[in-house]
Amino acid sequence: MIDFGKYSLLFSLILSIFVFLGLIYGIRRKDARFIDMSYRATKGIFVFMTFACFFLIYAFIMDDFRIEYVASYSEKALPIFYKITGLWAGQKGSLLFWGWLLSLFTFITVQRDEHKVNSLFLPYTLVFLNLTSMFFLVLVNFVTPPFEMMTMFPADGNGLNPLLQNPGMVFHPPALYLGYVGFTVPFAFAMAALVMEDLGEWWIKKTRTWTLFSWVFLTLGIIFGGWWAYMELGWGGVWGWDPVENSSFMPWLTATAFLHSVIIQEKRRMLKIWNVSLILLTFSLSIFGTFITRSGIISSVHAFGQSPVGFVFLGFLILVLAAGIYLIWTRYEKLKEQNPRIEAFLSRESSFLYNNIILVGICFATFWGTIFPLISEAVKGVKISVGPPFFNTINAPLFLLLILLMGVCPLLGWRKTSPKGILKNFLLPFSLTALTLPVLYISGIKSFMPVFFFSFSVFAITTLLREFYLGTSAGVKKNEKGWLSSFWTLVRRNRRKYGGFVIHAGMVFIVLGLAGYGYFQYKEDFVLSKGQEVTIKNYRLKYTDLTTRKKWNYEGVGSVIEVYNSGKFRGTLRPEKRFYKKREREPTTEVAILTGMVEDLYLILGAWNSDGSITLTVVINPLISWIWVGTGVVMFGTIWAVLPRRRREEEAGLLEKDIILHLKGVEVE
Amino acid sequence: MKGRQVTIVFSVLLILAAFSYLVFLGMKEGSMYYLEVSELFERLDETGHGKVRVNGEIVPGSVNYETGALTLNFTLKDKDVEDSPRLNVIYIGPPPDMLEQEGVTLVAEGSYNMEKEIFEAKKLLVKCPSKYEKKEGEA
Repeated sequence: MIDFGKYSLLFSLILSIFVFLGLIYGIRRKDARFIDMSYRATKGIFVFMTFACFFLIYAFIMDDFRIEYVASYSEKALPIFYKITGLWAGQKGSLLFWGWLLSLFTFITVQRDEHKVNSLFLPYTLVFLNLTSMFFLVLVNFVTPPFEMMTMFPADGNGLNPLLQNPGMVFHPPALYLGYVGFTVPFAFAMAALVMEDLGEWWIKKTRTWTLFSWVFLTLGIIFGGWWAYMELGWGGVWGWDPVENSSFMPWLTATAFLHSVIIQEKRRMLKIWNVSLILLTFSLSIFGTFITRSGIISSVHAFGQSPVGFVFLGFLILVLAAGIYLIWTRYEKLKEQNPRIEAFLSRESSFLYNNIILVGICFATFWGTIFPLISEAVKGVKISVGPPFFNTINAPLFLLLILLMGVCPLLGWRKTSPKGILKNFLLPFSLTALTLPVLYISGIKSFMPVFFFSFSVFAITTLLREFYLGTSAGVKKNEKGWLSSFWTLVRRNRRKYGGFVIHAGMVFIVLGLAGYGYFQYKEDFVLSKGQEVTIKNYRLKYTDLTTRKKWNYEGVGSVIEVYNSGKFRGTLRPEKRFYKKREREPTTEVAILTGMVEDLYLILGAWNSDGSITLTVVINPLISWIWVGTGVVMFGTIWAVLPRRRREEEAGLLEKDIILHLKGVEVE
Repeated sequence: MKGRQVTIVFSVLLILAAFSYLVFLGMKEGSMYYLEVSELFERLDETGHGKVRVNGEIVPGSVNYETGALTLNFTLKDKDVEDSPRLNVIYIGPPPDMLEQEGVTLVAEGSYNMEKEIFEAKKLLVKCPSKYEKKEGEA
């Protein structure tokens, strides 16, 4: 079995070399036979990579501890779920999984277009996809071989790190990888467009679904990471601006910018160079993230096993950037002239531009803060690190502006908006927002930033609802149908637009959750003896007992806490410390949470004494659940936006859009 | 076109200025020296009073936690250097996970109290031995 795995990887590498040579020769000689051969070989890579993954999972299930990777991340007593997901529990398996995803996505890209007449771009695109695949295949064959054997065969494995034995952690890496790998496809298309010197809208239309798909998985991956940190790490928060977190956040920012700016190119044929630059940046940042997390060059609380892999990624990153910049540089003059200009400062396209500036600004600030210890060490000879206050000071106001833009954008028309139109459109949302200010003040929120966060959120949500209302009422007038059916027609015929609005609403919820817990988190430590009660805000907590329980691979010591809210019994929480059999000397914290839409009550058992007294940390996190709700909304919106629509709907949708634009007093192109 | 270019240059400058100001504010708020234990002692003159981050390995057996007083005491030394200077740390709050694991390194954020010769930590970040991947802890 082990040899099968090894040879599958080797075959894949050989095939990818064939693909590369075949493509280059085929493109040069304009010989379709060689290109067809490459397409077939690409599918072969996918098949062999699938074999390799299957063999590794099989080794996990069979407890084959001869394989070093299996022995490091599994044990006999590990539940089968964690054995299967052991495929991506560590670095070697993760890179194999990454390579497999890439081979799958390459397969799909080829399958979709190989028989179409108009697929001149495919060989070029495949060159870039294949080069990336080759990089990963070299890694899994020579640098981090997942099927490497041990010299001594242990009877049982090391076991999976207890902190990773949590569903949030199981889905966090693959979601991130899906996002990272997914962006390889638009990247390859963009590079192909550059090589072909044709930066029209075709590559954006081709990759629209890929882009959204990758974006939503990147989003999910980041949120899963935060959710895991919240549930498992026991410090009461979801985000700490650690370099490892930042490294997944940076590509998300440029990807979000890309998602918006391609719309401008589709509608107005602008920003062509900017778009290829953004996708190049997104792809590079995901490689950069892997480099800083795996090389250990920047100190982080995530202690990844340090290995030379990081520097291999650095080499790859330099190659990617050099090739990308070279291509953009040599095509720049030719493409520049095709760009129409933005006509007014207050128009929908300019609001997209501001959105891009802000997102790239946040990305730059995050990048700066992440690498600053390196810079200061090089320049001043001493490491200066920047903590969360740095990132919050810069990024909070920028995020605030984003929320504001989210509200403003739908109120602006394409090209130009007349001042009269602006005033008319702004009146209602603006007055509603103004109304929230006294409400916020009375409810006790008086500091500067939170007030802005909450009132801008109201503004954004109001304009979003207004969009749905206007669209529906236009439908009612035109078709003389009921509100419900008009609404349904509207959102079904303009999936992308209204899906996008739903995503915006989800993002507002997420930001609300972040602001809620970020600005109003309450934390206090208590020492309690058995039977003692404490009151925190409107909660009354009673510590009744300290109990032990045994599970399949750990023992847990937990304190039983009765929770009363405003006099009413709300339930019993049992925060505990777990002692995993493989790691008895390192207890892990298992927090207990009473979840609510208004706030979470979050209990951490710190320590206990022989007399039964305990140290209990009580955290109250307002609005934090809205982060998870918002994520669900974002997912729903994305699915809605990418669902394919029928041609009839498409035509009808176009018509409808004109009517809506007309009703808004915007001139139609 | 002239006027347009002036507007563009002007707005770009404005955005850059606003952004630089934010970065400046952020650096003032959030930047701290990140030092090894021995570096802290070498630089006590310049960093002795402000907030710093100190990275070090916990001296085995030095961890002491008093439940009643919610007080945690331990000693840090340079990682993998046996004869490095020792730094006594005090932290008010419950101990983070994995503290007593051998070879654990930790980042303490706080300031050094010259009179009491003790480092008063406000925040602790535990890093785990690198043989395991992806561990994290914060208190």
